[in-house]
Amino acid sequence: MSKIRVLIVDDSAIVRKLLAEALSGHDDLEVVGTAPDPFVARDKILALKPDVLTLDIEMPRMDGLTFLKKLMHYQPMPVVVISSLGQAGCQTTLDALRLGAVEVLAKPGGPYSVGELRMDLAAKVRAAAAARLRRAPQPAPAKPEPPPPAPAHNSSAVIAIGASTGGTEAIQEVLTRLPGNCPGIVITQHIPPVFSLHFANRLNELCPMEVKEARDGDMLSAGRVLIAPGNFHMILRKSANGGFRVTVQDGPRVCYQRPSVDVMFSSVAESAGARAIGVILTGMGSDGARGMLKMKEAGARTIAQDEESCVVFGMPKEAIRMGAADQVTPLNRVPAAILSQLGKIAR
Amino acid sequence: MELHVLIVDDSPAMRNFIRRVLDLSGLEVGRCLEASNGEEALRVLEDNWVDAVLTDINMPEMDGEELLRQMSAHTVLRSIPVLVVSTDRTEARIQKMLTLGAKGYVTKPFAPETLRDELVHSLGGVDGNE
Repeated sequence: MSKIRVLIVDDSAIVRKLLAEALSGHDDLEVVGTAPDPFVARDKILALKPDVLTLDIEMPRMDGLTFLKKLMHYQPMPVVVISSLGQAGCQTTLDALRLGAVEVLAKPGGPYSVGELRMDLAAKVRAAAAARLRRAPQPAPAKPEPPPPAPAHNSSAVIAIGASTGGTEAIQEVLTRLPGNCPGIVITQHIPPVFSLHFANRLNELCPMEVKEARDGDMLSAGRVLIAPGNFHMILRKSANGGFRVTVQDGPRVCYQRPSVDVMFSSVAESAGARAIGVILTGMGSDGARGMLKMKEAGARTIAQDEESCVVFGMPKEAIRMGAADQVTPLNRVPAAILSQLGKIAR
Repeated sequence: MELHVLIVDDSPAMRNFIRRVLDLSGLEVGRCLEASNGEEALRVLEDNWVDAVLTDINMPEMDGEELLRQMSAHTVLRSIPVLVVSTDRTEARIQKMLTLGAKGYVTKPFAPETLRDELVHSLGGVDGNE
C-alpha cells in the first residue's frame, strides 16, 4: 500500500517538529516536507505533490484563508486545518471548512496531550486523504429563505444527527432547510472543543431553529438544536416532565471518538425509541453505525447519506452494511426525508 | 523560496528587459511567465499560481486598467499583488491604478533597483532571502 504523503505548513518551527513527530511511526503516513510560510508551501506543493496538507491558518505574510483559496483553485487537495482556539482562529477555521478544508485540529499546546495529538492528527490525516474534494469553494454563507413550517407532527419526537469529516458543511445544509418548529434535534459532530461552541453559534445565526452547544442538563424542546461539545459525550435522557434533557459527560472514547455518535444514538434508542429519527452523515470510520442499529431495533426511522454526496463515505457505509439504515439519500434530500418520516411518527 | 511572476507587456523587448532585471536583482525568481495583453494575462493566471503580476497599462485587446478591474473582481486573483510598469507618469493615472488595487507603480524608464524594491514592497516586504 502506498503511503499517505503529508506536507506540514506552519510558521512555528516547534509546531512543525511536533506535528512531524506525531506523524512519524505510523507505517501508512510519511511527512514529505515542511514549510514555514505560504510561499515555500506553494513551491513544495508543486514540487512534491503531497496527498494531504496540514495548514496553520494564522500565519504572517499571507493569511491562511487567502492561501487556501489559491490552493483550492490551482492545486486542490485535502487540508487539515491547524488552528488556535482563539475567537479569531475559530471563525477563520469555520471559513476554511467552507472553502474546502476537511478536518480541524487544535494547535498543540492547548488542551491536547502529546499522546492525543499523535492519535488525532494521524486519524485526521487519514480521513483527509480519503476525502473527495468539492469542485469549487462554496459561496459565503448567506441566510437562506426560511423553509415552510413542518407538517403536523408528534412534537415529542426527537431527531438525532451524527457526522464527522465534511460534517460541518453537511449539517449546515440540513439545518438551514429545516423549519423553525421542528422537533428537538441532538447533533454529534466530531470537532475539537471550543470549535464546537463557535460552530453552534454560527449555525444559530443561519438557521430558523435555536442552535446551541449543549450544556449538562439542557432541556431539548421543539425548535431547539443541541450540539455535543468537543471532548464530551452527549446523552439523551427522559426528563421528569415527560420531555427530554441531555447529559454532557466525560468518559472513554468510543470508536476513538469523544463525542461519539454511537453513545448519543444508543441513548436516543433507549430514551426515545420509536419516536426518534436517526440521521448519519458523511465521515470517516464507523462511529454511529452500531448506535443507529440500536435505534432501528427500538423502532426509530433511520436515514444514511448516500455515497455520491459524502465527503468521506465511511460512517454511513458502515451503517448501511449493518442494515441500520432504512433509507439512503443524497444530502440535498435529507431535510425532505426527515420531514416525511416525521409525519409518520405516531402521536 | 522562489518568486513566480507574470510579466504583461505588449512589447517583447520590454518583457525581456524586465525578465533580465529580475534575474539580476538578487531575488530568487522561479517561473517567469509572460503575456502580451490583459486578456492573455487572465488566461495565464487561471492556470498558473504566481506570486506577483507586473503589468503595462496601454496594450491592445485588454489594457492594464481592465486587467486590474477583472483581477479585483475574482475571488482568487484579487489577492495577487500587481505592480504597474508604465511610461504614463501623470498623477491622475497613478492614483487611478492604485485605487483599482495596484500595489505599486513604476514609471518607465526605471532603474533596476527601483523595480526590485517596488516588487519587494508590493509583496509585503518579502525579500526572497529568507
